[in-house]
Formats: sequence, structure tokens, C-alpha cells
Amino acid sequence: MEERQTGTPMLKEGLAQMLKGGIIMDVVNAEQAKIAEEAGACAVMALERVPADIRKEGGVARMSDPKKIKEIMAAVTIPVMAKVRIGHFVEAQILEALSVDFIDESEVLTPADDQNHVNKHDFSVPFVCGARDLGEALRRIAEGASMIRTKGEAGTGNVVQAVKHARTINHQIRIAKAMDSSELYSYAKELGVSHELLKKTAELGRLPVVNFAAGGLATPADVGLLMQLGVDGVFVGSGIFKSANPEKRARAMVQAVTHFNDPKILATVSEDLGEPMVGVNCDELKEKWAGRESSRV
Amino acid sequence: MAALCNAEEQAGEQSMKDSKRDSLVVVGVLCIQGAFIEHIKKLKEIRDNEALSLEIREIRKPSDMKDLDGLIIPGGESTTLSVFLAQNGFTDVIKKWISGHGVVWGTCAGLILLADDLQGQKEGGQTVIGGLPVQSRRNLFGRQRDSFEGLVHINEAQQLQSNGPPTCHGIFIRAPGISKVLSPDVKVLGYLSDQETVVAVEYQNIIATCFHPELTNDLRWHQYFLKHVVRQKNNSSAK
Repeated sequence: MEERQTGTPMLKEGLAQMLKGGIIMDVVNAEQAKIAEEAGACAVMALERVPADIRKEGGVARMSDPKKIKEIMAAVTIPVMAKVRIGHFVEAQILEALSVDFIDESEVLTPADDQNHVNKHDFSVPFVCGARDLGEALRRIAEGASMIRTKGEAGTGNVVQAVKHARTINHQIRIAKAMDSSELYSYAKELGVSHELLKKTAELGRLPVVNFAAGGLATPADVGLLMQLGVDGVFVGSGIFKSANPEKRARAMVQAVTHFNDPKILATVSEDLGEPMVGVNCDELKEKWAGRESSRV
Repeated sequence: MAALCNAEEQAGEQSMKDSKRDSLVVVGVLCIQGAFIEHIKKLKEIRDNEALSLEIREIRKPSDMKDLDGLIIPGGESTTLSVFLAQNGFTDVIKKWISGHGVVWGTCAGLILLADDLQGQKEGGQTVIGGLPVQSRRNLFGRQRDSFEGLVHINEAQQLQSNGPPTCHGIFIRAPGISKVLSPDVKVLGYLSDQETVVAVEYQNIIATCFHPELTNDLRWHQYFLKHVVRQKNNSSAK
């Protein structure tokens, strides 16, 4: 009798592939999770506080209460993700024990290890990690991430950093593609990644795993912008439930991620959505989360 | 790409199209959400290998369905797909197209949308297309931790390809199951090693698989689907 294999890279990266062209929404309770599912979200991120509130309230941000996560898992049929602190492999073990579908090792929470990220190969549940540039994305993939997202600057309602990170990754992949084999060795060293992974990326002309945008997206136009920059789908955090009409905005964002290339449809769905989340200027932030990467160098 | 063609080549291409107009097969992939690019890549690979006269179309709006011969509904989140289809008046368009003998293949979420009886729906239910007389249960095998890779046995009588092995590699990701077959006319195409669990079926112009052939290097399922599309097209044009 042949065995069934579980937790393989194919299955972990495969779930990310199934999420493409979709929106993953941050939710803090079962009621919001149902609204997200009803609107057409392809997954939800279960949290205690959305990033905008974490910014406002300050303090150490940790993995959510398992009770909260279980409530959300029971409320919806779509995949449920949850966040762990960078390097906190025990929070990850707990989420795996709860059978969440995806773990986000997230800079939105307060890092638990200032030198190392979680060894994600150890887990049967897939991980998504944030990245500002190609080097960071490939370092996370080397550690076993099955999906990458731009870091953006979560909880701001300001898309500028997400755009910067998406563009930086695209730009660096184009540079790598144009290099000859000798140059690639030096570039791998410069980026702090393995030559093998960089070579694979250059050959594919894209990241070797699914890549979503995240951090500050608040409108259907923001969704269209990032999708046209080539990401595979989007996360929307505070942008929905901190807006005036979450149901309507959520539905509009879902339409936008499919019709990202059709300005007429984007115009229609952008109409009369009520106030978006207020948003903050990234230059005025006391603390920028995007810089949170744990390493020895 | 068109800019690279000179006028002469364009004219040549056009006359080739004209001569093959009768045989040009149009296959669409529903590109709302999910693993649609993977299916498009497989179709392109077969088209290039076999020099088929095949148009591969991305389907995002009801108007994209015009003159379509075959449709693939890919894996993704079935609730996302159903919400989107319902909101855009798309469900009935596909339903009508299938009842007019369009050949459709649903993988994973696609199977969920095609099943006549759907168990494990989200609270408040979800709109489905239907047409396939089976009972399907969402996430039958469990959550992501229970997703698995394993052997699928291909029913000998329904060999996908005469020269292929009688098995294929099945990738099941939060997969739905076929918990009951509701008509004797449903043909079982594939099952798991327990000899019981049905994971691929065919009924008239509908094919459905619980797993994802588009994530493997095995082209047989796509070839099987395309053959079905061509056969159906020839049958209807002969009438």
C-alpha cells in the first residue's frame, strides 16, 4: 500500500496557488469573518486587533488567543490564516496544532527573535512571510516560506510602501534576468541569498512562489495598482473594517482583484463606497514595521 | 506580438485561420480566482506539442463565453467563485451554456460548483452551477494539514490515453470529495487506493476531478478534456 504524503512543499505551495487572484481579509471576530466570506474573500486572517489598532494602542503584539482563532475557523468554510511573531516557532507550533490553514510570520507583531526567523521546513502547515526586496523574499523562501507578500506599511491605509516593495522585487528580478552566469554569483552574494535560488528566480522571471501585495491597500484602485504591478493577489488588513461601509467595500475589492485590468469596471465598483479608512502619512510614523527582519548581520 | 508580424505573415496566418475555421476549437478558462494560469499553461503546452488549432481564452465576464466550445473551472475558493458568479449574473449564463452541451471540466472548486448536491456549504448556502448528478462534500479530507498527495487509479474502461499507465499522481488540496453518485449514467474515471473513494467522474459533457492535474507534469487529463471538446464540436456541427 502506498502512503499518502502530507505537508509536502507541493501541497504547501499549492494552497498558495489556489489563493491567487483573491483577497485575504483581516478579521477580528466570527462576525467579520462571515462578512468577508460573504463578500468573496478567498481566505481570512484571524487577529485580535487589526494593524491600525496595534499602532494606536502600542505595547507588545503577540499571536491571537486560540479561542478567537477557533471561533473564526468554526464560522467560515474558507481557509483561515493567523499570525506569529518573527522567530516564535512555538506560537507557530500552537497554530499548527489548531490546524490553521496558513501561518503568517509577521512583522506586524513584535519580533520574538532578533536574529532568526522560524525554520518553516519543520511545519506541515504553509507559511507566508513579508518582504521588501528580492533578497528578503528569497531568504524567507530558503527558510521554507510557501508564499511571499510585500510588507508595505500595515495599518496606515497608505499604499506607498507596498508599491515600493512590489516594484523593488520586480526591478531586481529584471536585473537578475539580464545577468550572465558569473554575474549571478556576485549578485547572490550582494542580495544575501543562495545562488541556486536566485538562478531559479531569474529563469522563471518571477518569484518561485506565489507573491501577494500587503500593507496599506484601502481602495479598489489600490488593488488594481498592485495587481497591474504583477502581484498574484492581495491582503487587505485594516482597510476594510476600518472603513465606513465594510460590506460594500469588501465586495468592491473582490471585483477589483479579478477585473484589475478593466478601468471601466474599476470605476463602477469604486462608486459610492463611503469613507475609506483615514490613513496616515508614512513619514509621520513613530515606528516603521517594514524594517523588521531578524538576522545576524 | 502583432507588431512583430509583417503584413505578409499576417495575411498568411489569416488564410490558415480561414482554412481551419471549421476546426478552430475555442476553450476558455474561468479566470475569476484560483489556479487558472496553471491550466492555461497546460493547454498551451498541448496546443504547441500537437499543433492544434486551439484558441485559449480567459473568461472573466459573461460576454467572454461567446462561441465557446469548452470551459475549465479551476481550483480556487468555491465561495469566492460562487459569490462572484452570482453577483455578475454569470451563474445562469454558464448553466445555460452547459445545458446546450458545452463541455466543462471542473477541478476541485470547479467540481464543487458543478455538483447537484453540495454538502458543507458556508452559512446561508452558496450559489452553484450544478448539472453533475453527484453529492459533493467540501473539505471532505479535512483542512490544509490533511491535504495530501497520493496515487489515483484510472478506471481501465475509461483509460485517459491508450499508452499511459493506469494511474496518475493526485494532488488534493483542501479537496472536496464525491460522497455519492446520484445517477447510473455517471462514469467513474478515477478512485483512490481504497478502491472506494471516487475522485474523478464524467457525466455527458461534464468532467470533474477532486485533485489538480494542472499542478503536475501529466498532460493526460487536459488531453482527455480537449478530445471530449473536439468530439462534441464535431458531433454538433455534423447535425
